[in-house]
Amino acid sequence: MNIISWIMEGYNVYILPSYILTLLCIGFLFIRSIYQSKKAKNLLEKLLNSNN
Amino acid sequence: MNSIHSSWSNIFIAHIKRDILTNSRSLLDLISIVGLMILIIILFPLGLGPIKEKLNVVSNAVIWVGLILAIIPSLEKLLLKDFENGWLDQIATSPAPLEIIMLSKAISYWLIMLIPLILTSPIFAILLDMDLKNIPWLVISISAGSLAISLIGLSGSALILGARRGNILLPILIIPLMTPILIFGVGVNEAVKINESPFGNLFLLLALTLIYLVISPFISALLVRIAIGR
Amino acid sequence: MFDWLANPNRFKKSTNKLEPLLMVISLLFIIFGLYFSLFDSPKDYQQGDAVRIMYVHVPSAWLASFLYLSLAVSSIFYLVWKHPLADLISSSIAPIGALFSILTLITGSLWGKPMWGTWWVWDARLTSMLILFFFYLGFILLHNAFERKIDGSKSASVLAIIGLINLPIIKFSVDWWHTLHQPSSILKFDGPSIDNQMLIPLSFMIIGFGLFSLYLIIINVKTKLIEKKCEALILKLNLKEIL
Repeated sequence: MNIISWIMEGYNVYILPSYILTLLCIGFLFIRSIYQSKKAKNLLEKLLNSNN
Repeated sequence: MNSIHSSWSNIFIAHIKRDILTNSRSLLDLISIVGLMILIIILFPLGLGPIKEKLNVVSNAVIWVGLILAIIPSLEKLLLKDFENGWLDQIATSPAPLEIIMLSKAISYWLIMLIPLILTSPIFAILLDMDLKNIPWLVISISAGSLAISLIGLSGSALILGARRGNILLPILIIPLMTPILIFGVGVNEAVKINESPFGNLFLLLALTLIYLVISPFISALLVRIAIGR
Repeated sequence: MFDWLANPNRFKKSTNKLEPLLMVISLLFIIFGLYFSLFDSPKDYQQGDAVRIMYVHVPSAWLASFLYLSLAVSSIFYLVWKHPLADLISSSIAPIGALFSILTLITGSLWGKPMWGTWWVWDARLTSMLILFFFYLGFILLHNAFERKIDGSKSASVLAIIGLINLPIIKFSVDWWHTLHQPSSILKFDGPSIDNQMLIPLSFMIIGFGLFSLYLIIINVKTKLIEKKCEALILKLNLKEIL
């Protein structure tokens, strides 16, 4: 994998941002889901403890 | 109410009469909708400059866009008043089918709010320097499309019954639904401009109106039942 | 199948095993897909390397459309059978679909710049995608616009069904509009004629994105189930304090 394969006939200025953006979006969705799920689980635990 | 014995057409006509009566007492709504339309029309020459050729090109589209934008504030109140004072509750529990009443709502809205806009549209066309031979087609296309617009508006108005900030939400919900009407409506006149047959667009517009005529009362009635069931 | 999954506890149990499996498989698909699409796929004879944007653009476009279809189907399930899980599913789908439709628009304009010479062309497909985005936005806004959550769920479900009826009409009208106004100066651009070798990275990406969305939906539905339980507990605690 040499440096030339990253240039892609000069189209890399369009290709790489679109890939990076896509991965960022997917990553954002993933982190958001995990964060919300952790938050909800913590809240449930707290509530169950205070309930007892 | 003896609506058990009266036929659907009687219910339909009675409700249209009621809506026209209740609305004719507040002419303010009517004046404000035509006024808003004129103001939207004025913005375009002010924005584009008073060059006749420019205005001639955009006149058709501007009138259609103005029509769609001008009715949005009034759509919010289309069902809201009746919802808040409990009239819709009453009518939903009566044996009269809610779908027929919703249809009568859309038709009476069309008669009260959109007929004045249709009648004044030639004036807007002249203000925007539309060719005289196009003006009849503009009136025809607006008459055909505006019924569909009020039917879509009815279901939009039913969607936001009881919602917070419904007035802001309404345009976001219904403008996407109006795009086909705009496209075919504008298409009628654009076809006339380049000396082609306008009937393709006109028939599509009429077909759409028929589709909404069938769908919209059912969806609106469903939404009203949901809103009342709260 | 749906009835069987409709029990929240059974849903949780059956997805517990599925969840990590889905994540690993979808990530593998995406990683391999990325490798194939960036380094190991042929250039298009017309577009050269720019065709590589297709491997993220087309999967997002497909998913945005497919997710709307699933959103509408689960809304129908919610309205007809009134099962709360269907609403949790549709409200989990909506943000994911909205993000994919934005992603389609952005990658579309990044693809359009080298191909058309401008960032944005009022292309029929891009315009329909923009309108699809507004249906997602409307769904999300309407879902959160009511004092009581259940009202929002019902209204938004009806909106999803209205969209299901109207989107084909809108798609048709936008195509009609586009052929009407087709300016001759703009390069007619139907996407590349797909080579068999391009299908490999494309299908890897589509499968990867699709499975990953499924994984995210399952996580979000579970989170919402837990949140519901929390709300019930909070009500119970408040009641105890009052009594």
